[in-house]
Amino acid sequence: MVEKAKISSSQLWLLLFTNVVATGVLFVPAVTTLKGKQDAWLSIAVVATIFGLLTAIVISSLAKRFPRETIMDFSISLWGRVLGKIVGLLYMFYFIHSTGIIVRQFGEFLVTAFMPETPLEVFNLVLVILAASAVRNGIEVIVRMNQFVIPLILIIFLGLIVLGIPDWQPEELLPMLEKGWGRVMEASLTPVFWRSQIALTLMLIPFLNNHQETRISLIKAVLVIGFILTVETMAAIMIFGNELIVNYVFPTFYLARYISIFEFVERLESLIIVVWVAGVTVKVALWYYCAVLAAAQWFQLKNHKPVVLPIGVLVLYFSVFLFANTREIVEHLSTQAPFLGLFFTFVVPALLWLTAIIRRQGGGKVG
Amino acid sequence: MGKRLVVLLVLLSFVLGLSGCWSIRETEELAIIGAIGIDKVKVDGKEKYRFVAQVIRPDGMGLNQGSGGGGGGSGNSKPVWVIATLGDNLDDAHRNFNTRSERKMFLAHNKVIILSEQVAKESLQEIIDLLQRERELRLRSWVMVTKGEAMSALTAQPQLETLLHEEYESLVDDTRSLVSKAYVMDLKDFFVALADPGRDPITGKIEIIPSKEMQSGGHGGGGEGMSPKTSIRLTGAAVFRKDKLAGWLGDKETKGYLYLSGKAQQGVIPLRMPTHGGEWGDLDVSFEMTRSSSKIVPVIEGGKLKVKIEIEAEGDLGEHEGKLPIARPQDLEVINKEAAREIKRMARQTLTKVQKEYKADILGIGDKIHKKYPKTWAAIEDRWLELYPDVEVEIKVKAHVRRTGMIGESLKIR
Repeated sequence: MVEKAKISSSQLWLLLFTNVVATGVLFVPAVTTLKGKQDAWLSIAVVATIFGLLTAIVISSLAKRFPRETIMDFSISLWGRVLGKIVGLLYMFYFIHSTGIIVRQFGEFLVTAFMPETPLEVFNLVLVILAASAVRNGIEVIVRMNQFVIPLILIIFLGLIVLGIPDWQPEELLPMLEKGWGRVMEASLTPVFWRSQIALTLMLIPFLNNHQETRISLIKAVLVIGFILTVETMAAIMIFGNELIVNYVFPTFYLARYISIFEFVERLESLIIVVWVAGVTVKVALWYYCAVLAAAQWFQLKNHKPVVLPIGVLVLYFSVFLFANTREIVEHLSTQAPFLGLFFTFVVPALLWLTAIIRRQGGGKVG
Repeated sequence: MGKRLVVLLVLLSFVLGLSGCWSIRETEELAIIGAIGIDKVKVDGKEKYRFVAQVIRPDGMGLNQGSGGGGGGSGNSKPVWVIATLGDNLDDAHRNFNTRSERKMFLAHNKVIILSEQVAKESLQEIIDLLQRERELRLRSWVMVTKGEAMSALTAQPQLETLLHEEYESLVDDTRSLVSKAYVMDLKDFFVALADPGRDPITGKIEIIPSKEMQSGGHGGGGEGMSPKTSIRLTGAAVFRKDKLAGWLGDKETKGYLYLSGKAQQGVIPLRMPTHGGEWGDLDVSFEMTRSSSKIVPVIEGGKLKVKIEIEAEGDLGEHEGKLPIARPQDLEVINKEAAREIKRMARQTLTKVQKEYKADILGIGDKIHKKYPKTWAAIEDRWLELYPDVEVEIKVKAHVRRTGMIGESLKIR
């Protein structure tokens, strides 16, 4: 093992919550309503939740079998050295690539919505430096940082939901299932992918101090994330209707902006920034950490610190040069990213699990 | 020790960067805008957009109040500065703002967007696009259309407020509901109505009226400096078909619309009572509206689409000229019927106008069909606006007089 750290079961689900919701709350409603219109919330509430639960079962079963290993280790013990190493390498690249994309989303939103004159690179650089410092200090720092910001995030989300109630027009959710479950399924690709990001747990298994509760905390994460994203999406549909919502890149942001209680409680979009900065910092730190840990394990280093800098540079590079404009990001997030993501968050872990079952490998006590 | 000091100094120097950010904008460098207007004008035979912005001048506001008694003060210290700039397209005109203003345009406090009649008659596509793309504009801004030029709607004289846009805002927010003769959409509802194939926008109409009332005002000696004065009136509504202005609704027609959509609040409906068993004669009563609700229900009967609108109106007895008893329960019953008839007449008139003449679905009937009969809607969605004028609409109205004010019967003057 590279590092000695402990993550409790409640810390785990809170971490996964931030991991998914921080960016999901801005991007998921937008991309899902694009295809699902007023039924988009069903994709999030039903399809993504079911899929999320499946992912949770796969991951927690693997965690149970290999309580002291990350996916870098048990892919080797299950699939042999060559294939295992290749899988490990792919994961390493996937983590670095994704971290770059998340950093880009962070900067892109701030530039689009708030500070058009500030270069994107500035936001990205600041975030990567901050995350690098967290990553150097280890997973426990990231987990605690998350515990510190999560009340803020929860209060703000719930606040935005409640304050928007006066403007809700529930009939905007009608007609339900207008084009049947087909369209709901079609729209659910993005929310499914977002929810499956709980699979980051695959890199954290050795740090979990209570393997009995891993499954429960994963399920808890899936359900709570589902609740917040569903309500947020429903609120956006109820306020903007299914035609206008498609028009906006960041409906949740507009929702916060539209809130007006007695013309007094207004202009709450700054709160979205609080969530965005705090949440995405945690998220980036977590993904960055996974990338670093994967690299350290792949190269069989004793300490993860030496790879922090080089990976940071790669992340920064990806974050700036991967996309030329906002539309490319949205395009990527709604088409390629889900498939790429699901391959790593679901397909590979599920295959590993199957192999483990067939070969009766890992943990000894097979449940 | 020395090394620590260096580290400390380096760290402290970072603080310098924290005090502000790249896109810093100091308040005193901003041109805070309260209202904007969009015109189209012909310059040298070429059609150009004119972007009109009303910039708030904080110093002007202070002077206005401070020097009220002194009568002097510099002549140009008005609380607002109206800037109009031309451009080949709207974005160009909007950017040209800074050819004249040395402060940056700040639209986050904008409350009112005024479109000229001409602009509204042509396609709104370009304008809507800019309004949506613009980062700072708020969806709570009120959209209004003026007969004539937006420029003159923004150069009118505010009466009770110092700033014109505040006057607009109060007319919309506070007093509109007391009269129920106008309807205004905010930018969000306007966008929603534009985006929805089963809904058309309807929004406020601004009239600019020359006002004689205020000539007597004027501070001290500065009477002659005040050029022809105009003031504003919010009345009626502008009806759009898709993104083009289809026509106007007058006071009464707007009231009809408000009843049809269940948005009518306070206001007065003068009623001419019929002869009531020889008892009442021909006398006037006013139905003071208090609240209303409506249900718009599309139904398919025998393969034919019909729309049923049920209106419930509540009100008080407002005014009664005459000496005969009118406040007995059986009298109120008659008034109920009469009020219902009058409301139905207004509603029908409005409906006929928007349905047959303007062919604009401001009631969102298409949307109601979409929600209730999604399959039928899918078949007619594309040609909805062609079908809409021929849809049969049935209107039912119930009215209730609840109270008679502070008195029962009128005072008997003997």
